[in-house]
Amino acid sequence: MEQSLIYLAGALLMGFGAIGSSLGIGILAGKYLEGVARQPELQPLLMTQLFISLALVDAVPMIAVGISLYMIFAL
Amino acid sequence: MGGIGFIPVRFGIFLDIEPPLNRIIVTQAVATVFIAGICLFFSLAAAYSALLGGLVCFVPGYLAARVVVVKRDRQDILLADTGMRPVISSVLRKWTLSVMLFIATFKLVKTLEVLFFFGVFIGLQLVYVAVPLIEANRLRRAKAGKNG
Repeated sequence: MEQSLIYLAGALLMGFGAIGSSLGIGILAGKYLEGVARQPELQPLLMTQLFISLALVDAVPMIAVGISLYMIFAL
Repeated sequence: MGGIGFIPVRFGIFLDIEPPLNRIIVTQAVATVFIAGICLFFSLAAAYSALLGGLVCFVPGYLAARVVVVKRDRQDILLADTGMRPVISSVLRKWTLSVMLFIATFKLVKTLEVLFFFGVFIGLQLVYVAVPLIEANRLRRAKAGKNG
């Protein structure tokens, strides 16, 4: 029972983290594509900024995945 | 390339990644070693937990940055590619590698100090915010100095 609750908590952590980050990444990628469509010559610069912003948006679900994997594998 | 910002970038393997990506990578690497050194005052387990937390954050980020830069430079501009392909590919690799490193750490390291591990991991994720902010502030100050 206790182990199954841990698995459930881990799954919830990953799932809610994924919802938030997918919304963020969707908005970010949409804005990036708009920017590239308006000014294609800025694409390399925008891509670097996109990558940094993506890493930032990725950070929170990555932490959630880390904690949930800890709960699943180490607890 | 490098050596102009607030952290001098003179490491050979980082030279093929442009600023500000290389500054983020170097800051993470230096911070990992520095924090692990400080954690040695607590215990050996704390030090290697901090080191592992830093590596789990730093290694996938570095490899993803390399994939983005290398694939972007290879792509044909005449194809009018939006550049999303290398980014998606690098993010997928970063996630896969991160999950594998997490599982390997939790499975193989029995005496892990979780607080130090996640503390360093979360702290290093903040570098993605801190470095561009410091760079922007530096540029703003330089511009204000030039105008005023």
